[in-house]
Amino acid sequence: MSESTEKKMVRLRSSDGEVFEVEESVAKVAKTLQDMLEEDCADAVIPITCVRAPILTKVIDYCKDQVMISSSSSTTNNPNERTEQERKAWGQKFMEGVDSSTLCELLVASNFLNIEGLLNLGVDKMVSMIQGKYPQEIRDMFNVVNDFTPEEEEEIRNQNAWAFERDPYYKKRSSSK
Amino acid sequence: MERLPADALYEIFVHLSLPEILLGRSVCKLFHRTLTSPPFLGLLRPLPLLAIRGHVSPLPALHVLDPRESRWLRFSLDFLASPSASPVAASLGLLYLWVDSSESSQRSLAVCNPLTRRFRLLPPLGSAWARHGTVLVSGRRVLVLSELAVISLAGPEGPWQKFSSNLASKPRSPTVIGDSVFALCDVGSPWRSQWKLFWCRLSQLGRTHLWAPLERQDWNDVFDILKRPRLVPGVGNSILMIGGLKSSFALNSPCSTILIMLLDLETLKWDERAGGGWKAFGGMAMDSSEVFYLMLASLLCPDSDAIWGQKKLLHCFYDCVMDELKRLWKL
Repeated sequence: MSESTEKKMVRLRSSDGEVFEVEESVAKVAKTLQDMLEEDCADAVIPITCVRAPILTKVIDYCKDQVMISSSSSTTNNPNERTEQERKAWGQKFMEGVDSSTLCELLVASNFLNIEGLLNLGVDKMVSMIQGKYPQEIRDMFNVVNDFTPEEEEEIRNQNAWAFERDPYYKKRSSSK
Repeated sequence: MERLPADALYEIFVHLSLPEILLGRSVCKLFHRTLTSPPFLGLLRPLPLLAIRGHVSPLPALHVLDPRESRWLRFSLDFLASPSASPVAASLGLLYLWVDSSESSQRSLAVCNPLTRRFRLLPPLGSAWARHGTVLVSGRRVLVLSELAVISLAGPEGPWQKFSSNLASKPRSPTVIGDSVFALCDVGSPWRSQWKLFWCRLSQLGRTHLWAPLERQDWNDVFDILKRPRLVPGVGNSILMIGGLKSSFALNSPCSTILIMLLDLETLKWDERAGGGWKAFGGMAMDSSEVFYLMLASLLCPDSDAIWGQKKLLHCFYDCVMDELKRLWKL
């Protein structure tokens, strides 16, 4: 991108009313915004109704980074270009410290804005958080309310208990509750 | 979590193992709905199944292989509205079984999905078919074979289409390799069985002489040395034939060894498998599990070499398979 041309800016408003001004190229990382901008149906300020400001900040950080990689990838010996491994490490670092509720909001945002890369990062993080956990641990982590009646829960447990009856680890864990 | 779109939840859980999916179902109603929904289950790869006829209970024990964790999970079939059931085939994660209805004396063919705990009766068959037919499932196609005819289920609701057949006796352990069905057929006398290999193409079910024998002069006595032979698909274009080694000519004498023969369908040459020579299978020693494993791996995951050698897979259901084989081969 040439420095001499003036960069077109786009304004985004989060659900809690904060307005963010970003370069058009950054906004276009989100497929949903790209479609709106290309069809020219975007208003002066685009409302992102389901995303709060702290989450939108994180989303914009991600988009900025994507623009930085792609804008310089055409030049040779690009210092920003990443190997697969570096990309993975960057993704992990980007998601580091993201708690479970932020993660859920990020997933909702990247799904709504249609940002595949961020959605994948979020899914990977979510998978690593759920892996090896038991139902109560998952509920605690994501503040999910157990809305089964005791009878319903018992029935589902019985249906699935078969699958684990030969697994000593599961027996130990479930009997200690 | 409740705000997450269904697609995102599918995407998350599709990356988790089967035990984690099953546990996830008991987190809350939303998870339960998501993880039992057809779109989600459609994203999972069909799971290898192994059903073993019940000895203790009239319902069979069903084992499902979770390829991600390389371990077997046991599933309950208590959702079948039937006092007893006998598994006959599995394909693409679905199990096919004969079920006895409590009202009538005739049994019906049913298909069930252990993950959704749903089952469905297939269109009724005549009583002769239900008594004597051999069931074969290739992909979603259901066939019932007898010496006189092959019937094929055209769609999920039927009807059964009938094609005449030309075998001397009921085909035994029919196996699909590619587009062809291979089966063993007893062409001997009532006093002495004589096994022969037959084959037909699934695409040519309407043909007059459906089955053709597959034989070579240099095969010699390959069928004479095995007692109660069974076919299972081998890796690639090959068939495994497994049976007890005939130890004497006495009728119903017990076998002490199991022999596994491999027929390469390209070269039409037989080869002994399982480490050269006769493999002693007497007793219950764990070191015989290699033989076992070869058979099970080829039976369950014909296209997977990767899990070969992982004995732990076997440990989980060693006992019940043992029971079944002891019964089958009178070990």
